[in-house]
Amino acid sequence: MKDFRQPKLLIVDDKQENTELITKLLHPLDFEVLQATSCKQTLDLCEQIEFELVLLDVRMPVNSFETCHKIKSSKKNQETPVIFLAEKTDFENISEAFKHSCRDIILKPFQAEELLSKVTIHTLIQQQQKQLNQLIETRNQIYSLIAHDLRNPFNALIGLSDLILKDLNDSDPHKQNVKLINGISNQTLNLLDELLSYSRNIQTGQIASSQKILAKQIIEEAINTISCSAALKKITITFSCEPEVKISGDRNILLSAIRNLLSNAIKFTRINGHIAIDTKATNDCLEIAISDNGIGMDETTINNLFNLKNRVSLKGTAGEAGTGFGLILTKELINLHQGEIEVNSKLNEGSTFTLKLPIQESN
Amino acid sequence: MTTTTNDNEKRLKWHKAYETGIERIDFEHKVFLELINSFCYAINNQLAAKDLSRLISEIEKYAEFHFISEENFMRRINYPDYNKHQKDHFELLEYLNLYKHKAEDFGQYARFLHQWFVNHTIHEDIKIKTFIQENNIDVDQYYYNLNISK
Repeated sequence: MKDFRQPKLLIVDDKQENTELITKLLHPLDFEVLQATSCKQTLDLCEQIEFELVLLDVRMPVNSFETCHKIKSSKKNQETPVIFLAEKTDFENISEAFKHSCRDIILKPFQAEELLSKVTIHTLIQQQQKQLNQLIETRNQIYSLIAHDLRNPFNALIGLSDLILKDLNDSDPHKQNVKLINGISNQTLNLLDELLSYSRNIQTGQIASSQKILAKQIIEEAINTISCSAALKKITITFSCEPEVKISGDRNILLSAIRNLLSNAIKFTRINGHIAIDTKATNDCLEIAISDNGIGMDETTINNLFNLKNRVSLKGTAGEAGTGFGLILTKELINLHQGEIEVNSKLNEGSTFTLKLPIQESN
Repeated sequence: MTTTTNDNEKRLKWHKAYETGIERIDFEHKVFLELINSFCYAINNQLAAKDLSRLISEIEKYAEFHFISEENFMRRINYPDYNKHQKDHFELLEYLNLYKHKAEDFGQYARFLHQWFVNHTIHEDIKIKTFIQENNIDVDQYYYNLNISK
């Protein structure tokens, strides 16, 4: 995608001969250059026009740093980079300028090449930033389209095949096929949900809500949600945790991360196997180790576990299917909480996934 | 290349009116005047534009150096018009920038430099002299004299 629009630049200086000089020097760039010689004129222009870059003289009758904040408060120029112009010996304003989130400073006397190069590079960065934002917005629209429009048919497929299955006798020749339709639909819906959840978290890069959570409580809750599938494979689960330790973060996200690791442990543990959840609180972090005596992994598998490009999807011991996104998602979720995830595994002996999460001070 | 008699006559000369009586300031002003002379000398000897531009950088750097030096002295003696004088220095640098780009040729820029130097020296720097005299300030206590023998 290319933005063919001519970049707009605003030069602000109370001395018109300065704004005219810069306009003349920038002539080879083929920008649309506007000039302002007062704060009021600057803000009026910023209300009407979205600029790619503003060059603002640091010594003006009205404090230039306030003008800069006002430019950034205008609806159209919140993201517009501002470059200050200052004299080389004006040390106070130079250091002050950087505190006011200016993009760069051009020091007078300057060389024409220096001015041209700084203006060009910052305009280019700004244009690319805008294009990137546009792309992200388009992508978000596609995701929400997928979330709403693509999920519904799968729910219908699952619901309808459930109904048919109820009516079919075991001897019915179609039963196996309907089961297959039902299974694939469930699996694809899971994949869809995991992909969406993964992309949402990558996009925001932050936790929506953070609260103090009792570690023991949230782990027990996660165990409850997977206890049925553990029981089906006759897997025993042991758990120990100090009752008072608190971690902080988004309850749902942390729950889904722990649940993911537990489901994985069940998936790769044979019938009559065992899963142990041990916690250990150190000075500033809580380690939650989920160990199983399942099939384990070789080194290549371990190395590709969190790799989006070489994502691995392995079948469980009872043929359970996977999407290959579960662990990648879990790692992202834990990273969002300033946590880490560690893997230790030996083929045919079992795996241990250790979560390290920062402990929340109790007061 | 030797300086011709003609060149010597054209040289900008130090004038009593430029004297502030503050030894170090006068010394730095004399250096500045000589830098303008060396620039004119280069123009007369038809140095390439690229080399003349490098000489302009030399002058700009010295102007920055001298302004900071003078400002540091003014701060030490609690000169009451320090802020105004510093602002004048900023404006001078601004004009230095403006005329570097605006001047039609190097000769015009050199004439501007001379005028720029004389105006500031006889109108503004001279006020420091008055302040020192009125307040009986012993300059040597506040400003180290550059000890350079000829």
